[in-house]
Amino acid sequence: MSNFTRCAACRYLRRRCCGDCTLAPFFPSTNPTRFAYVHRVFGASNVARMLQQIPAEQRRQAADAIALEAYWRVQDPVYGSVGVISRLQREINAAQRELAETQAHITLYAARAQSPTTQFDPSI
Amino acid sequence: MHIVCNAITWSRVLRLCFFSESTIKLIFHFFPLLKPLPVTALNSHALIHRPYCALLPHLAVFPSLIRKVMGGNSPCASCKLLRRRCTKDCIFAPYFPSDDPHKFAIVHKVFGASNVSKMLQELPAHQRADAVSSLVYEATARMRDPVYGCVGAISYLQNQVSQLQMQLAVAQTEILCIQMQQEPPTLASDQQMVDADHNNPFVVNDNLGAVPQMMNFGSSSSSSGNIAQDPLKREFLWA
Repeated sequence: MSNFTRCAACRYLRRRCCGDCTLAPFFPSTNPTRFAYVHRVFGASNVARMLQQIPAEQRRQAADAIALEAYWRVQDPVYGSVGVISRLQREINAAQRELAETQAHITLYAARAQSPTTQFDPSI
Repeated sequence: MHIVCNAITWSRVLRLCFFSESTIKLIFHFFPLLKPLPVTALNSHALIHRPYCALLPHLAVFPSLIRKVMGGNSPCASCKLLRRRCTKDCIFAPYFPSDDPHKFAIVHKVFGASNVSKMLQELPAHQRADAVSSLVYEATARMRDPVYGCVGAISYLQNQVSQLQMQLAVAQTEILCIQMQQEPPTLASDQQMVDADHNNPFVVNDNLGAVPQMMNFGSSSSSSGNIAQDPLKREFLWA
């Protein structure tokens, strides 16, 4: 009895999963949602074509990136991963502002720490 | 054989050239001078031997004129690429004009026209322009970096956020240390310091409660979640 199970892609597309299926290494049957999102956004043939154009050692990273982009697009159909980029840029701006304020406070505290000694110097 | 006859007018010529009555009326609307003019020897020779030649300069203008008057436009970039007729209710036409074919070409290459069409149809009309812009951005990023696409930029930005949060935490710790070094002043002097700081526009929140609030900012700003640390995304990525 063969223990071979179809990959998530072939199961979704209802086709036989042969041994050299391009998508099988990246879309295992344990996570069917991952391929469902990818197929919905990019399409199976587009993904297979994109992966084939990439060197074999980088295909896993590419498949993960494609899966992430598809996930974000499904979560936010209008902006997708661009919405994530915008949100991160807003966070960076807020963090930079906060850092600048904190560093200004540090400077103020440091100045205040020195000023009481000069203020109360009896020789002046 | 030359036709020199006042009875032959442009309207007869146009009918002979199989233009319909409505088209003829359009032509006369834009070229009123043609209406009363008879066909003369000057132009009849061309008419006899090549009936359409005399009209060529006008014919070249007619198709676009007729299309504009009848409300038809040139096919959008998507219909041009897909080699199909661009109908009035083409979903791509408002967002992929014919003067920028590259835009649709990239989107079609990465996402596919049918997927884009489905995505746009699921969205309300006022959000489709933004969706198209984001799709074009993603497709361009994917073409530029076939392995990581947009995710490369997102990783970079997340690293920046992490670094800034670390620097913020260090700075806040430093403030705490400085404040602890300045303690313990008496309660009266503390109150004087606070009152003085209220008049200082440079200081936003200078009281002992400000530091815990500032410390909490770091945790609230981590709502975006690092890709590697977000359990949902981790499970999604690595099955």
